[in-house]
Amino acid sequence: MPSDNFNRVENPLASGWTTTTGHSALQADGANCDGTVNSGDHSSYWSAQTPSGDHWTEITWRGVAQDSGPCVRNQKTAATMYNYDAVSDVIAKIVAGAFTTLQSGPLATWANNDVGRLEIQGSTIKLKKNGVQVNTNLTDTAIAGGTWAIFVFSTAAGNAVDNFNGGDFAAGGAFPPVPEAAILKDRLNTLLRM
Amino acid sequence: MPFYLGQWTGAGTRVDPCVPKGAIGAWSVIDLRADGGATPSGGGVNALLLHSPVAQLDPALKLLANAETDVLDLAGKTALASALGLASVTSLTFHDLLVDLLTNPPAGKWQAVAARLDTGMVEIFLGPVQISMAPPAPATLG
Repeated sequence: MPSDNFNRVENPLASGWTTTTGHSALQADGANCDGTVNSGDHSSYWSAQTPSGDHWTEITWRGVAQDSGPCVRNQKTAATMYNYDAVSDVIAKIVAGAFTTLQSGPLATWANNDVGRLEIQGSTIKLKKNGVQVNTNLTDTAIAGGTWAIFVFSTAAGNAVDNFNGGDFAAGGAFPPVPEAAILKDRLNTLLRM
Repeated sequence: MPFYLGQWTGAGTRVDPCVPKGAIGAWSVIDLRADGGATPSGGGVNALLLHSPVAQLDPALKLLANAETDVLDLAGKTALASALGLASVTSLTFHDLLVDLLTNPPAGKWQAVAARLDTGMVEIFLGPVQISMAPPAPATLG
């Protein structure tokens, strides 16, 4: 399953990513992922792999000065996706570029290093903060399939995301793969030192 | 825990997104626009079902039920049929309405709920309503 720590300088964001049609490009700034155009809608989707329609996207916030967050079912041919915006505190959808709020807050407040995860299975959308669901389950039927993505608005200082992970429920990806892999690697290194 | 019939307002931009007309406070919706939200007006059907934990007083929101098991009254059914472009609404309760609208939508309207890939079940959620069921046989509303 995909993951990215953005620890490189890359503008526009590439290396597995494609800029969403109609949105501005994201960039890797050496440590995080952030925008490139002031007052612009930025999003990129993970194009190196394609998940089933039931998947999740997870990011870590490195500042929440403007809207930003994880997206699911991002379409490759139009600005169409479900997303969570951390400052507006709403779950929304974008269909062919048109924004609609599906669930209003208060859902959660976010600080540096909080992990946000947006999930969709069937027509059910869930938002999790640090592993705990913070919204009531939400139903929407407009977007049937798509892939993992990240949304960031504007280039405001301290408005960045980090540590993207994507999972596919159909592939048994109910848990983040990277932490598990890191734990296994640590245990293996411990055994090798013994 | 009231449930309402409403319609969308807003330009559909990031700074002026489509939101339920007249709604305040916390709420969640099921979008019944025919085009899924590609246009604010919905491509012929501009309608939504809204749940709010508090009473919504704006007349743009039509109260349908206070609980999932409430029987729909004639005024509610008439408003639904008009808003959704249906000849009639025959659902008995608000629960039945959700199941009827979202598992067998009329042709050319909104999309039906999709089944989860892991369980094959379809789910409908609106506020405290939690419906999980096997996908029904195809049929359409009048």
